[in-house]
Amino acid sequence: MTELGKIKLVSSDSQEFEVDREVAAMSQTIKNLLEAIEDENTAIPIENVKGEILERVIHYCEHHYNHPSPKNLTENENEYERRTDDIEPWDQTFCNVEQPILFELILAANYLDIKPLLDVCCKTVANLIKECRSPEEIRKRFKIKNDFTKEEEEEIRKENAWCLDEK
Amino acid sequence: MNSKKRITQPNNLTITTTTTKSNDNKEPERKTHINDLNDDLLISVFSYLDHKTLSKSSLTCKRWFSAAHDEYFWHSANLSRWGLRIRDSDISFLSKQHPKLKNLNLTNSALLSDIGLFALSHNCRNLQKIILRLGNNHRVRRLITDRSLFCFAKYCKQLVEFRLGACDLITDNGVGILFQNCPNLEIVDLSYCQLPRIPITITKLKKLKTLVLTFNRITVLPDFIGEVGSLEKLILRYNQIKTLPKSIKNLTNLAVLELGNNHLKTLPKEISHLKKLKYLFAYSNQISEIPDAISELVNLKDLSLPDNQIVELPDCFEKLQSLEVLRLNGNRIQTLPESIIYLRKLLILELGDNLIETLPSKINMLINLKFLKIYNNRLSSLNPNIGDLNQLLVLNISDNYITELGDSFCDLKTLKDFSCYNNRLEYLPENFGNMTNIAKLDLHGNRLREIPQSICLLKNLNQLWLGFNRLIYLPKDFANLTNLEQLGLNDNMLQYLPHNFSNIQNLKMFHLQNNKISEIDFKEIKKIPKLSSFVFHNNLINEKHNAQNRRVIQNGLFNLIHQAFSNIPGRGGRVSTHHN
Repeated sequence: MTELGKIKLVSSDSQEFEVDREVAAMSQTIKNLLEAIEDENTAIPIENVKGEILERVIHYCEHHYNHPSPKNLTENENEYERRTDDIEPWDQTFCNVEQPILFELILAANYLDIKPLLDVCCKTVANLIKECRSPEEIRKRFKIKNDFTKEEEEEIRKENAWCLDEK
Repeated sequence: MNSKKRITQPNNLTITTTTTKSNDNKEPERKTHINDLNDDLLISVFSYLDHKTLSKSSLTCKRWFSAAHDEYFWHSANLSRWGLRIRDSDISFLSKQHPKLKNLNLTNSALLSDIGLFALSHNCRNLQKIILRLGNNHRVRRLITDRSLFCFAKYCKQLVEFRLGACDLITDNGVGILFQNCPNLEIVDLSYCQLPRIPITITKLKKLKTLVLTFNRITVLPDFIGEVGSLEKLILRYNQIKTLPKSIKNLTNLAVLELGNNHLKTLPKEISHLKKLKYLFAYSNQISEIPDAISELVNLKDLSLPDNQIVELPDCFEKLQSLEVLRLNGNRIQTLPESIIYLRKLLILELGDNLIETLPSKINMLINLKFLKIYNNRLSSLNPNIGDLNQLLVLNISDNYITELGDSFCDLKTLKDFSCYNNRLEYLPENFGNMTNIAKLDLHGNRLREIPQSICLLKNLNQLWLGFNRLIYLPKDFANLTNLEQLGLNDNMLQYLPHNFSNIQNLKMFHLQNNKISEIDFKEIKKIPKLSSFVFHNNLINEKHNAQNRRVIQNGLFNLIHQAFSNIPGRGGRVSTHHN
């Protein structure tokens, strides 16, 4: 039996987590499921998310449930560019994790449909990319294999010369 | 979502054993990689990148190349931050790669010439908005000519917004062709272009809302401007326009009219037809008269006519019920019409540098007034009801002949910034300390012999200028003014500093020169941690004491004690001081 107002989530590797119903409902996916289930005590399998990640996601939801951030007034949907320098300190710390975990958080946030978590993780990755000064640095940082041929690369580098900070 | 399907038969799941962690997950763990994100997610990440980083990212691998070229990113691009590195070849590649570009901001692209713009207009035929201004650097000579305008006219007929700045090689001929071929233009900005005239084809622009022609050489605002009835904003600052045509009355949609720094001598009475006009700016012209017709502008919010030659104002302000800002400084006005007091919404009234001798007797009816500036006029007194302006934040009555402030003055409880320098005040009202919001108080150049004790109640006071008065002593609780950062007491007859002076812990700048002080307790002074400028020459400090000072200085207790015999300007506090 789960406590009143709590539900049970089961990760892909069968770890169980008891969570406040309302906290869990920050995930649109879980919210939809809860509406479909009659039995309060049903454990909900979160098949695509490992326990390690699910734990972090729940941690995120609990924090933001307890500390609702004021409606984003600075949401200046600039017609050209979106901000990445407006991540709250708590979220910055939360996202300060190894790359694989960050990407799994993105996948989980996407699967569970938690938009603020998805946004903040994507922003964090964007910031990691912005810190790189060259395509080589990006490849190195994210362990990306260069699959251009020499000729192709030369060509596209020429065509995008303005964005390279060489010399 | 597949998980949803699974859960719609919850019966299978009701019995879950309360197992703990299963540790038999033995498959070798593969670390999640950025390229495990699907295309949508990768694009979500990219959506937070600026266009330069985006282009850089496209060079890392094929998948990123195609994601970064997603149309989503290339409807609008703002390259203004990197303007100076963008050359013609870059624009020609960029436009080839992104033919669907609609909005492109190339501000600061000083190196672009006809060649790049030809490629751009040729490749991106859906362009609607193009910005080619040069931030602040208007001196660069750009090689953009009428040929570029011809290209835009030929290929980019959808243009809605066209902004080009600092191109002195273009002529009204090229602009005329552009206007003729791009009938959708709504915003045209051709500042700093040396255009001598406005082409007649402007009448083809039936949707034109904003026309900016700042810093050109236009001498005549042509009659046909009246045919561009859609105009809402007309900005003509810094030209050589002498008169406005009568046809201006047809611009009935006009909300903003900026005419500053032209050669206008009058405003035509036809201006009264511009019923939607909200902002009328005509700084620095030679206007000597304002027509009565101006009172018809019932929606006018801001009427700014500083630095003209206006002698008299029409007495019909009561109709301008929307007016919030009235700037008439730098004219030759002697009297203000009584009707000015009916401007109930007025927030800002600037009348500095005129010849005004008295204020309208019922000035207290301007109940919303926040800023009142009447410096450098001929006022000899203030109205006794001035204290009724209970919204006033800033009051500047400097450089007049005022001898007293009056008792009700101290009812101005909202006042934050009060300048009354270079007047003839001999004393301040006893209850001066009632105005507790004052942060900046400038009374230098008066005839004050003392200041009331209540001044020590002004807890928010941050700047206090009392230089060039006749003060012999300061109130004894002077050191209660603990928020003071800048203090000017120079050129008085002070004999000593008040008690506990070091309580003013925030003090940064202190001017005390030209007084009669015989002794300064430097140990006290040195307790003020932020003090970086202390000027005290020309006092009566004796030799022995001075030697002591020198020792204090040599011991490095003070970073900076400024003893220079420089010429101290009237403000007595604006001398820049430097570390040695």
